[in-house]
Amino acid sequence: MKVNRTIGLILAAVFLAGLAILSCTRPAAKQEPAAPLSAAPHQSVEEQEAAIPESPLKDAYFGDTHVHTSYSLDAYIGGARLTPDEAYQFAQGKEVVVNGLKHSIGRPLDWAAVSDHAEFIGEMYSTQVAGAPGGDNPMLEELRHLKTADEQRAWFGKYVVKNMRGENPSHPPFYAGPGTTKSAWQAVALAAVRDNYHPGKFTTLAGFEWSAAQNEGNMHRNVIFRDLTVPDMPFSALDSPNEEKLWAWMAEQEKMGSRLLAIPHNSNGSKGLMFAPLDKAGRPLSAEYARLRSHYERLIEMMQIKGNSEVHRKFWPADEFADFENGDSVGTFSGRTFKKENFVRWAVTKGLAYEAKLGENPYRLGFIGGTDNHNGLPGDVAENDYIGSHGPADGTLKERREGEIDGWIKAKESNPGSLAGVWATRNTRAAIWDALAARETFVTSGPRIKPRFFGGATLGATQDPVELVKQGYARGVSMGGTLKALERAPTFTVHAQKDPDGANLDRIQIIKGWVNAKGEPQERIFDVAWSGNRKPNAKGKLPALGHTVDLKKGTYANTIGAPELIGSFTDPSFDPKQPALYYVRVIEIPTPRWTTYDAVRNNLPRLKGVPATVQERAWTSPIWYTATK
Amino acid sequence: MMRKIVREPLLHFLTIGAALFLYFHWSGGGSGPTSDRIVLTAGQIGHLAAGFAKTWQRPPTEVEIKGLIDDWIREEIAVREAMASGLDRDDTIIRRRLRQKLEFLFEEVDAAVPPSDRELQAWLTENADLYRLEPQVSFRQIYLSRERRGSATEDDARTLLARLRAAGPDTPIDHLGHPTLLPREVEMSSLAEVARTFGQEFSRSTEALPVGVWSGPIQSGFGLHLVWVRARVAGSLPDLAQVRLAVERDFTADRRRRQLAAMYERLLAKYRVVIERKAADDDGGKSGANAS
Repeated sequence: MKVNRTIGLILAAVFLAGLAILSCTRPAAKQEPAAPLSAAPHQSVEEQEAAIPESPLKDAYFGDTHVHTSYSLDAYIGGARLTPDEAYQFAQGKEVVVNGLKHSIGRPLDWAAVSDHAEFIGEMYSTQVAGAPGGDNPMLEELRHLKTADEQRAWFGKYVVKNMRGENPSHPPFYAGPGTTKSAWQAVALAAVRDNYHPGKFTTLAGFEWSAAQNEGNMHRNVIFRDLTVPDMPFSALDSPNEEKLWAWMAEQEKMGSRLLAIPHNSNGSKGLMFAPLDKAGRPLSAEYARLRSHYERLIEMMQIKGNSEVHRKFWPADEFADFENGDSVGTFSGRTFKKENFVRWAVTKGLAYEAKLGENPYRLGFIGGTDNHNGLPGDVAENDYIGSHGPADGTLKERREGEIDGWIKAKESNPGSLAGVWATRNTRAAIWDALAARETFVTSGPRIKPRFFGGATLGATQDPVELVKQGYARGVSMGGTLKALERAPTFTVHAQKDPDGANLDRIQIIKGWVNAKGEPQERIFDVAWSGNRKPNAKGKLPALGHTVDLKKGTYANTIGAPELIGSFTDPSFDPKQPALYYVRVIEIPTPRWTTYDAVRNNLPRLKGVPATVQERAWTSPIWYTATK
Repeated sequence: MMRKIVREPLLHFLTIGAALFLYFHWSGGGSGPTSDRIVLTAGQIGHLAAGFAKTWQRPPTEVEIKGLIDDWIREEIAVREAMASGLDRDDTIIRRRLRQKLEFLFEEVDAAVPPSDRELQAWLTENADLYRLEPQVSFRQIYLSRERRGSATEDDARTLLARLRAAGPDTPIDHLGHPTLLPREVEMSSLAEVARTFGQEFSRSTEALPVGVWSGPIQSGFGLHLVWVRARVAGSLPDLAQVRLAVERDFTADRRRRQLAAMYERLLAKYRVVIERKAADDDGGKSGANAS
């Protein structure tokens, strides 16, 4: 026994020494530590970055802002064993093993931010790093050997769920102290971010998820840093479940030299909390609240595995494309009843009413994507080889067809999630993060569609996409930008290029939002460019394109639609005194939904209750018109 | 040679083992688990106090130190009595924990030995396919849109191709074909990078194109392309310096697995394993034991 203890002491000493070396707290983190053990001389990260050429017309870079690994407690329980390091490897194209099967992303991502739940990373460090403090706790010993889904559920319910959804969530009894949280953050999360950054090829951003879920309403935010100037540990819902406290913490980090932003997600399941008219103290939103929110929360995750939060067909019956990955069962679990006020289109439009009243817009949100994959697989969005996203909950064919992702959604109604797009001058941390902060972002439901969107008083229509982009940057603003008071309607120019390996495009739409005198959101959808020789009918409605999907074989053909679309738009109902926003939606031709591919591959009947085909799409961040000088 | 011995993880392991043995032999004298003496040294008390201070962010008071000592003695007594009664035997958690500690100690020692350049080079040579650099190509291309020209696109492409071939390699191409955001000039890029912009089909087609000639039309997801391949670099095995980090990562992971297995193999030799199956088909040897 004494031998064991002494070995323990030695191990502890080895560990502490290791941690002391690895800890990259703020002052030291300005410079990236050199890769360990490497004797070969090589360029510093700064030198590598400086050598990457800049592209003035910018390129689209595809990534994921939302992925969980074995360092998220819920993912670990569900069998996730890929670490943050392995998640970044997967994103770069390396094959991994998930649910016992080999799996590869196919097309690598350009960038990614692993966003493990900050709450329990310390506990996960104790669980996974042999010899770590607290690792011999019997509750963790149980955790390491949970086998059946029932065992997993029971354990999670007992130690985590009740606690997190209560008023004052706290660490579970097996927490071994803040030292473990720091170790997880620095020696695991940040080390993976550092080791996998290849300027010009693949960018990693440091991040974590703040997972407040009071009363089962989803208030989660992913916090993402510009560089490795970061605090020595993240801020979790156990520090405070109040978003204003999160912003106060972010303000402290800014004072210490960090640059960071927060991305809320799953507003569809927020029970009215994400865009609530009252703050946590029960007061109407104040100008200060609005100012802080628009400063720290510049983007919102439009869509992910647990549904599309843009709109829902029930509340937007007039929008013919609102019937897309609605994830209806999200609205029936844990009392997360859907309401219009939880959806992104409503919120960004409502923001205009707040701006009129408070002088600040709390919902000045650009659009971004993410998967929320809990298998450690960033950007695993291909419909045609989808293997589930939440461990055993949807890891087998049977579970995908009949099961549910615990407490959230029926597996068959989930989807592979969305991709995050940014327009950046080059693929470096600074350029990618700056595009996020400037809201020059877009989302796709999976395909690598590249949408361009500019607005300005002097833009002209053109059929040349190069000219369109040059003009846009020279004389207008890009997606995420703001137009100040104008005397007459601005011109918006749009271009979309299909996924080079994907389906053709059906149309480009511009969606306009404004509020009426009572502050109620209003909207209108315009078709701006479309494929083929279709003519809008007398009511202005463009006929549907039809489809080429063979449901028996799970195939489609690009014999309809267009590889690229270009157009321009002037708002016929533009009112110079009326603040408004405009965003773009690009619609693909119909292709098989993942459930159809799954059925064809396994020779099973198609599932009832879910669409057989989808029209994948891209959304750009809005351009705002403020009507003020 | 000496360097090689110094780097040998097994040697580290044995050295640490021997050191531990000597330490207990000399310092523990008479206070081991089977003795009736319980000795708490000043150093251990210091350690207890430090543990307290880490949790509570202040040093313990005299009373608290006494409490810590009493508690430690209780724990020591409990452990000795429990072990004497055999309570540690057949306890899954204790067994797993002991195994984990042993394996971890081994892994720590293993990780402390940096791989040599020779080992890494050998690994790279053996596993060349994992690190092989993709073929690269640089080219100019002219895009023709089926959207804009429909069924005439193929004919347009052939006409333009003939003109280009007659005009020679340095013809300006900026105003040929249809306007596109696809780059007209592509610098030396891997096929995966070409696919990222032009798609898989186009990327694969470029592999077969001759260098220094206008070729095509080639199909992509966007339409047709006429392509002049400027240069090509065949796939190759990178130098160790170029892929050192990845090689090191993979080599160490593999070495850990191999040496852990080897350690069990060596330890297994110390034991005679008897597996009693239902039919009592004991072969008296190791054939049924799986040590790793």
